[in-house]
Amino acid sequence: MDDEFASQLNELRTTSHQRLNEQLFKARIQVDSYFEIRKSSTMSAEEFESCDISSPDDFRKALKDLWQHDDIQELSELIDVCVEVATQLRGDKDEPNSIPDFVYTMY
Amino acid sequence: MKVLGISAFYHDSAAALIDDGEIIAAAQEERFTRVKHDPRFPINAINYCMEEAFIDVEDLDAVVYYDNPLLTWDRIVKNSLGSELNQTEQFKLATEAILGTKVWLKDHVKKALGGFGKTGKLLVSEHHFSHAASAFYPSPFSSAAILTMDGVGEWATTTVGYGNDNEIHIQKQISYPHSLGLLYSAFTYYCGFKVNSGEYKLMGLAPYGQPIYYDLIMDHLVDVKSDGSYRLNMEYFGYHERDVMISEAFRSLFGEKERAPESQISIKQMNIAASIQKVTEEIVLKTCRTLRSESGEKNLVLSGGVALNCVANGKILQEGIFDQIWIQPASGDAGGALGAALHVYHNYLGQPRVINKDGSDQMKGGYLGPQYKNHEIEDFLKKNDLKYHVLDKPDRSKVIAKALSDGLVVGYMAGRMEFGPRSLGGRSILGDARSPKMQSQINLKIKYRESFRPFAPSVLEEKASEYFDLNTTSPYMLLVAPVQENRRLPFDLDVIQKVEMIDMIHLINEPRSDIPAVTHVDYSARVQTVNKNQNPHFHEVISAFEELTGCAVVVNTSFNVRGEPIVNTPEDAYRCFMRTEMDVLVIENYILYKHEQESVEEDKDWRIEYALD
Repeated sequence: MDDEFASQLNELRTTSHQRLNEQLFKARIQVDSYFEIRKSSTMSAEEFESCDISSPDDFRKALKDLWQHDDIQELSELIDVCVEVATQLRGDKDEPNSIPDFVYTMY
Repeated sequence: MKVLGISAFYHDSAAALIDDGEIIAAAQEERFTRVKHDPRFPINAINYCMEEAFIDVEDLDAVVYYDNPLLTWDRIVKNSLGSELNQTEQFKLATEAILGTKVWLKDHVKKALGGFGKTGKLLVSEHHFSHAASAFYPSPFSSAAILTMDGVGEWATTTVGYGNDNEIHIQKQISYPHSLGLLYSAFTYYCGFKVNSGEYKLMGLAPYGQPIYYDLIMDHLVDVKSDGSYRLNMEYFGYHERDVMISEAFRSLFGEKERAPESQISIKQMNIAASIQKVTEEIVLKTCRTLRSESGEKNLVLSGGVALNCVANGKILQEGIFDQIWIQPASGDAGGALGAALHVYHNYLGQPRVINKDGSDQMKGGYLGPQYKNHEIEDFLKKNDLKYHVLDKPDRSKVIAKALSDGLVVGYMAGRMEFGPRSLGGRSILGDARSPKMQSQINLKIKYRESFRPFAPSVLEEKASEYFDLNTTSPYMLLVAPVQENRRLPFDLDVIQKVEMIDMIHLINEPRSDIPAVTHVDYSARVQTVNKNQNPHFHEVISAFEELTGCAVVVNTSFNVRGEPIVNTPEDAYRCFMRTEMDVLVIENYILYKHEQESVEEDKDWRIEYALD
């Protein structure tokens, strides 16, 4: 993985790990329901078109739209390096004809 | 308006094409490439769909992908930042997959199609919206509650909502890493089966066991609220951090290591299977009750991988929570291609919905794939100098029925190939349901797989209630129902718990009803009701079998060997026929007998061609 990407993730981890760890992984929370109410029950036209990405600039804009109002404000700092890595990896490999058994949850 | 839906780069890539809301074609890429669960861009499936509709890319109004890679990337980054293990190998692989491939979806579509249809854009439908759309729009209901459950989409793992006319709404969700699909997969792994394909084996194992680990699971692994919502205790799992399903804490909790694949199955594993099945059913039923009460809807539609748990589906029906339920037969990711196309057609393009006046659904019996004409088949048979006979009506059905009644195993290929994981009489292996030996015979001589799993019965729709306690149709083999009591034979299931090691073959061969080949140890059966209009040829075969034997039920299992995708072409069918101990092959109006064929010399052991599933 790109060194700069790794380094920026590590930096972001120092400020966001605790919050995300609790938010994602904490067990048996005292609530009536674990269902989350969605902000919108339908998809907007913009959401249908949100991955119409042809260029690095399109991807940059898409990530900005995704993360600019996120609870984890610092995610916006990752945008440039994500675009850089994506540009490097674009068309890099032949597609594998199978997915490793236990990593499918991450794709 | 024509919309092409695509699912790819995950499991079971597929394409689907709709025209003015009508489903024209849908197929999984694996059927063409012969690679089970092929995740690659479905160029063959797309080409097939376009050919079936006689159209070019310029004729398409929209092209849509079934999932939003940006939201998946959001999950992957946040998961990595929040987990205890930092930037694991799994994270690197995911980064390559998302940033290297999925972000650049347009490149793949452009390369395959040369364009994006009249919108000029590549559209996406969120993963669970795709599932929800695949469940609601093809259903026969004008309005319905919607429940989707799977391993994970972008973030969502379970969603609830409703559909009304041409709109679908998802109101609430459970998000990753808390997932009923992944909970079931963790136990699938622990019991020695392959994740994301062996879940149905775990379900098949469950009736042998007792749910004695239910409390242990509920006390430690999953917290279930009264409304059916749930949260996992991630200390017991590993999939959120690295390339393992479960943690050491999981192993300690159950007191031993996971079962090695292909090793003997123990009573403990049967009891674990029964326990997780009970937990799953409880979560599904609680969620359904909440959904019924909150939505006020009388009908329910289901999709997502968990909707393939036909035992849980049968429980929803038995409980009478909803008046009617309808389940998308391609409930896995392949069906997402269809759902995405329908979602765009109705919600993005704002097109109206058409509901069949006769109460039937829009799936055309699931027969949405390629079909081969008699002259194409004859060309294949002649070119390869194969010995065959022509079956003309009305003899066709009688000849096939006679073969079945003689105890022969018949490979049956007729009409369009099915879309989804089940064979429904388009690409099926058929046998005599009355034979006590048929289950082990097909398992060991043809499917080359574990022998504990029961086969499904295909029964004439109009005769279904004579055999099964089922008050609705089940055309897609997605409902489990009990065999009628008057057909059952005495069988002591408790005997399993009283011995150290089970002789599975002996157990399987113990008849439990007068249709033993399709009756599970708990007297349940995974029923397909065959409708005369939806599949007239298959209906005729079963009718002829009934005329000959008095039995309106045949064994129906998928036309493949273990680990192989279901056959598509006549060549696939012939190859599978010759490699196994199948007795008869029917391809449309042609019949081939094994004893008349010259044996095929192969330069390698074909059993290693397909990875075991």
